Parts: sequence; C-alpha cells; structure tokens
Amino acid sequence: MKNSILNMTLTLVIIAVVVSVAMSYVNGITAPLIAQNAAEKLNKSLAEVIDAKEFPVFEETEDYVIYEALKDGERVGFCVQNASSGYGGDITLLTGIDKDYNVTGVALLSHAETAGLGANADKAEFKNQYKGKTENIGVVKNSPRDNDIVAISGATITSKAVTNGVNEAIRLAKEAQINE
Amino acid sequence: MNNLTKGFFKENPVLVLLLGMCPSLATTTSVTNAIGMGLSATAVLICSNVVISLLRKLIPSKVRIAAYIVIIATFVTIVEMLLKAFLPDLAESLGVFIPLIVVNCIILARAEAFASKNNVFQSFLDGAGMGLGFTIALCIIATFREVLGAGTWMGFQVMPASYEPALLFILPAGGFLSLGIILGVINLIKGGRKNG
Repeated sequence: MKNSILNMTLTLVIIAVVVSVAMSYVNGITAPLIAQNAAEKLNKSLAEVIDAKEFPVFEETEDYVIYEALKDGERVGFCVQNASSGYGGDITLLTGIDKDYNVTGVALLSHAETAGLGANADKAEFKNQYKGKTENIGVVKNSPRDNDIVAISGATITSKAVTNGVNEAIRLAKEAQINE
Repeated sequence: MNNLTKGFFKENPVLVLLLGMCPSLATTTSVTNAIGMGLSATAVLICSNVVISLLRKLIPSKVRIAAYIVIIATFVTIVEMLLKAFLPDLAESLGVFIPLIVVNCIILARAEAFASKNNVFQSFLDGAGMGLGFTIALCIIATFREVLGAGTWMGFQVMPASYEPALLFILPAGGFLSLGIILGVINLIKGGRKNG
C-alpha cells in the first residue's frame, strides 16, 4: 500500500507543492532586497570610478551599458559597464573614463576568479594601476612602460581579462563621444 | 548528547568519514569562506534532518531519495536567497558552492543514515553536530591554507611581512596537500590504524 504508484506520486506531488510555496514566499521577501543590493553596489561603484554626481544611462545594449558621468550638470566623462572573460567565467567591470579617454578608475562588479590569486584583481593596488592610463593598455610581468600595468602574480589570465575589458571600455566611450 | 558531539571529532564528516571532499577542498582558500560555507551547510543540514525525520513515516521508501533531494534543494535555495539578500559579499565569494550544497553528500548521507531512522530531536542534534563538525574541519583546513598560502587569517596579516606566501596552498593542489597532511595528523592522534 505504502509503495503503490498512487501513494508515491501523491507524496512527491504534495512535497513539491509545499516546497514551491515556501520558496516563492522567501523569494518574495528577498528578491527586492537582492535587487536593492545590486543597485546600491552599482551606484557606489559608479561614484568610485569617476568623480561625478549623476549617472544617467547613455547607451544600453546586451553586451554593455554606457553611463554618462555628470558633475554639476556637465559631462565629465563616461562609465562603461562591460564583461570580459576571465579564468573563472565572466568578469563584469565598470570603467570610468574622462573626456580625454584617460581611465579614472576601475571597479569589479562581479567575478568568479580564484580566491587568493585572480580575486586579488579586486584589490586597490591592482585596480589603481589603471588610473591615468589610456587606449591599448598592455600587461607585463615586470618593469611596466608608461601605458602598461603589472599582472598579478599567478593570475595572468585574470589580469589580461580585466585589461581587455578596460581597453574595450575605452573604445566604447570613444565611439560614444565621437558618434554623438 | 552523543548525537551532537560525535560529529565534532569521533565521526567528523570530513576528517573521519571523508564525506563532502569537494566543498572541503574548494571553499577552504580562506577562513571567512570556510565559516560561511560551514554555517550555510549546517543550516541546510539541520533543516533537512528535521523535516525528513518528521516525514520519515510518510515517505514511501521507493521514492525517498527523490523526496530527500527535493527537500534539501529547497533549503539550499532558501539559504542562497537569504545570503544574497543579507550577506551579498559572502554569497559572492562562495559563488557556485552554495547551490552545490544540494549535492553535498554529507547532507544526503545524514538524511539516509540518520534522519530517516530517528526522531526529530535526535535528528536535529545529529544535523547540528555534523554541520558544526563540517565547519570545524573546513576551518582547520582553511587556517592551514590561508596562513601558509596568503600569510593572513580571516584577512588579518598574521605572518611577518617578510614572509613570502606559498601560493601553492591557495591553489587546488595545495588543497589536496593540506587535506592529506591534516588527515595524516588526525590518524596519528587517533593512533587506531594498524601499521602496514
């Protein structure tokens, strides 16, 4: 009786229904908080990468988002959000770029790089290297020239991925400004 | 009481029963991650043990594994949503290993071996004990790896500045090395293994 098809099916159905209700209830509570966390993080990162007050969306596509950076109502540059393929999956980057296409700051919005190695890309010592750099930033292991950054030891792939993302961001900002 | 404390050392899921090796290796690169992973798994373990124990007489034996997996997956999903909402940084650094708690064999093993045969209170104690034992084990491995591999403990510098971190211990290979050394030491302490 206990192992009859009907009994087995019913038990599984009941369990599935109960857990679905439980999950949708929790999701109802957490979904807005998760969205709010993401929005807060984005706003914080935007203000971090470029010295500006407002960030209206300038151009949005599937692959990237360009925000206009406004300070006292005037454009001081762009922030570009794009993704670059790293060692552990996509790295989502936010790059601040001023009107002369110099990088003002870089922030990592999300990544899945190795803790202790690639994840060090999120540390200030690494990210600050990009400040003041312009188009076609290179990656070297040591003795960087003017427009080079030093790769994180043990995480060359991550360093290159971030750099590619930043270079792409500069290109996008340039396009946005020229095509306007 | 024995059901609570046996998970700490005598039947420690990682160090003695050798269950849940994958998260034990993957999330022990830092002590913070280890604690987060351990406590998340503990929460899931306690909840699933209690619920499975409550339902143990109702679930037909032929579909019990399916039922257990659904229940475990639910709690894992709930834990993941809560972490993302309230501890977004931790959720990010644990990444894919939170959803993978579903297939953490410790949880299914305790459901099958204990909760499906014992009453709710005993199952609760078993879940808490095993979960904390898992956390303790992760912390031991993570301490070993973080101190040697990064020179820090929970992010604080503990080794002298002149110490050159042995990056190997943060890398996957170092996980295996650490686990092997720690298991060796545990076996030495227990002294129960026969030679040869």
